Amino acid sequence: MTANPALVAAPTVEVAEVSKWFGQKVAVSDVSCSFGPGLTGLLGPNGAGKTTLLRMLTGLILPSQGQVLVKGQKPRSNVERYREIGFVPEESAIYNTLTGEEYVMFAAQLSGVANPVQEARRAIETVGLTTDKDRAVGGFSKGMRQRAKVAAALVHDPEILVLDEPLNGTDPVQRAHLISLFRDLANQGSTVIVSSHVLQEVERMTDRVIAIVDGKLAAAGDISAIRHAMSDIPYRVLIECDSSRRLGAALLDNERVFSVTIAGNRIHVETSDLGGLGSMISGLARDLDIRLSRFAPEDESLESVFRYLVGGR
Amino acid sequence: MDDRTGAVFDLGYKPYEGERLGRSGAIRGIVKDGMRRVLGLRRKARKKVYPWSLVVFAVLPAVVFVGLAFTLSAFSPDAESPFGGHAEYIGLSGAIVLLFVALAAPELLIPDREEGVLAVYSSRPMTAWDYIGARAGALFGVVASFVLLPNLLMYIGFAALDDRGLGSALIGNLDEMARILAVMTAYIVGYGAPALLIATYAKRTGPAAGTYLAIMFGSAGFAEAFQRIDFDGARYGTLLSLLQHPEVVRNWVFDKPQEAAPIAAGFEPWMSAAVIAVVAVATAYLMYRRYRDEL
Amino acid sequence: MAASALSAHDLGHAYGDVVALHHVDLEVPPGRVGLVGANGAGKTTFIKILLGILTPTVGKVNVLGDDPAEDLVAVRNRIGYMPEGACLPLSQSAADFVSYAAELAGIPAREARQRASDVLTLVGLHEERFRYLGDFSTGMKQRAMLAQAIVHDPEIVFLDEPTAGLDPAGREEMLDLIGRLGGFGINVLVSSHVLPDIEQTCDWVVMLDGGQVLRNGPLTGLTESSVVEIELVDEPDIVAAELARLGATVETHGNVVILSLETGDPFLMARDVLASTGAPLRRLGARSTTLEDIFLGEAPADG
Repeated sequence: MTANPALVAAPTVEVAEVSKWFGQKVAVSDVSCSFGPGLTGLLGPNGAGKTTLLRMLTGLILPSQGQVLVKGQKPRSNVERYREIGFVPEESAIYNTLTGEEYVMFAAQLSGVANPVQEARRAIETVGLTTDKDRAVGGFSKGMRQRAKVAAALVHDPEILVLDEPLNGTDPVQRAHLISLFRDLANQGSTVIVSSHVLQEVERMTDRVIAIVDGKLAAAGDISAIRHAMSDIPYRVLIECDSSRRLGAALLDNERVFSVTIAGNRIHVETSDLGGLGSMISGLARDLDIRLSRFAPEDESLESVFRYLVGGR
Repeated sequence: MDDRTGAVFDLGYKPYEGERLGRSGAIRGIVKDGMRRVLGLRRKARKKVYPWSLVVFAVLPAVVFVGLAFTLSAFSPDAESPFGGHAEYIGLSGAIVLLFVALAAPELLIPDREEGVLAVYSSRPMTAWDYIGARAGALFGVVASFVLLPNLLMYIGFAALDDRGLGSALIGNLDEMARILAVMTAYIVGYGAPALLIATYAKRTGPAAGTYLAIMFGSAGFAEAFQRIDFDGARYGTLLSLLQHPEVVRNWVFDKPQEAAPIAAGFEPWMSAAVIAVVAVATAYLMYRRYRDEL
Repeated sequence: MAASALSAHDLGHAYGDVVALHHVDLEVPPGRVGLVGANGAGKTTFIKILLGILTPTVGKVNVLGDDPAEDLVAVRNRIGYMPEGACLPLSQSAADFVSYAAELAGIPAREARQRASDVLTLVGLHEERFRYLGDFSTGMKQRAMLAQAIVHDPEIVFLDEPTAGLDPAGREEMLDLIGRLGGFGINVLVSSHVLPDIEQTCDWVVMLDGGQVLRNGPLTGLTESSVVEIELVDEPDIVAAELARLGATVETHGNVVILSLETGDPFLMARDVLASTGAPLRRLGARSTTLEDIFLGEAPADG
């Protein structure tokens, strides 16, 4: 029996046959998936239903059909469930005159946390803003502001953290800090769900991804496993060598090679058997006395996978 | 013999080899765009309602006056026009100028700032002064049109009714036309400058217009209050009466009785003209200060 | 065409006490240039000085042969700019605005209309061009912003975070458009945080850090080296051992073997060892230093 990659073994958040429509427009259509401890990436084109799904996960809106369960309970009907979730939306207003600490304390008070001062300090420390906590938020850089928002979402120590485009506008250094923060939280057992367009980053930080296209669940699970599951789309590989025509011709003799495209000293190969090609290429190059300077799968990245999901080729 | 031919035409990028008008082209463009903005042209229908209603109010009475004057004179050639002359009409025009610039100035300046369009201007061959001058010019141009047009109509109308005959009357009354132009300038600058100034700093059009009207109408009341206060420099407070200075200039130029606060406080009429000029210069400077960091 | 598209000589700028740029000296050739740096590194200040919005407190810059502090209009006659964030009037239609943008550059009205129409097609805005910009999606707005930046056929265009807010498909299209600008004869300066965007579209990179120039040079120089990186499907030990036996300097990280040679061709050695051991190959290539490596300070000092 093969497990459904859209589901996890010990879920904290379950989405069961959920649909949501706004008048005639069906934003989410019969999506079933679950999230558990670790870092899951949520992907999809703009307007594909991702944001709607996130808002249903956090209880901000109700599904039109199906149900969302947070630790076994519906988030909207049970106020306790709100405590389990921290949400960092894409746009959120922040009072620029408050200091970092005041802002997080404000969030702590709003969540009805027992020791707001203590919890605020803890959250601030988790995100690494301790040295700047007494500065006004208005003077924070983009990256620091994001961290402050994450602290505000963490102040009630939720088990589940949902972030919508948390890396927007951050420079690489800030991004690296935020990613390692999310990874630490995930490694400590939190359920971290990150929705992002920056696919390279998603690829690096997540354990698994859920892709929503046109309101439907388009793919789920480990990225290279997803790619492998797209068996009707042959793998593309880039090969660079010093005699592309000879190598290209020899490759065409291989029945698992579908096409060979030559551009200067580059060969683009389409094959159904990536592993097989990798195993035989060195031997082939040596036998033909050709210097091989590059062998690189071109479409295993999340970006390529995403492109196939959204638009065919 | 194969006579078939076919060709594919390149729809790709073509470099532009044509004429470039440089800075003057840019300025002309900003003026034209400014005029369209102020009149709601090439925009949603509801943006045309307010400005065009005012334009109608500004021009229609003159058409009616002149029409009626002709009709009345037809029945009794000696009757004078009972509807007053240029001085009175310009007063009406002035009121419409006030209402018009209240919304037009914010429309001209605020969207460019708040919607980020200034960034586009900053990559075009023009300077901050060019922008300010062109926007102000567009405003003044449109306003001058609907102030001048009805007065011109009346001018020609009166000349036609004049005993001297159309041609001689037109030339003989030129001093009247000079007065019209001078007073028109006073109203346009006197009301337009504060509107532009407020629009330079306000963030939204509605509140900007509201603030402007409140200040202008309030200024008259404020000035009246200063009249009653009894200490030495109090009379200078009447110079704050932004609403009334153009009126003072009008009455001065057309030699009509004066009632406004600054006159009551003992100032000469040219003082009002001076205040208008000072406010205009201050406005220009403050606008430059605001815009030079973004253009 | 000037020998260098942009240059700066002892450039410095401060906002009151805050120093944004400091001792910036550089020359940048025509072509496609990337500008990278952390938030607050001075990128925006630098661009504003190039545009002539700011006059530098110290030093001077040169854009296509002219100094914007002295010949503002001459410089602005030849540049285009796609700012970060919004720059579109929401109550005008795209066609109307892009046409106006062309007129603002001095193109006569009728030609401006035509240019606008051509450029809008080029960026992929078709019937929607007659709708008000306020109704546009983010992707459509970015394209309209690019259109206004090139409608007047500038010699150089400054793009500030051109893919911000775009979904992956939109980003690809935008990068494709940017990549084609070179072919149109337009020089490009792209300022971005998304380093892969720069790597994909630019041939030269300027890196700013704390207001100073960290690096100014061709992008390709960064990525070529004579160190070979081999990623295997399983355990690398057999391959690593064989390479070491043949005299190579070898490092292993997970399934990746990194090999360098003092003399001889490391690629030939890699090929031969892979063939003789029969180890299944996943990936082979020159070890590349990415912009990110440099940025995060992990790169070797001499790229």
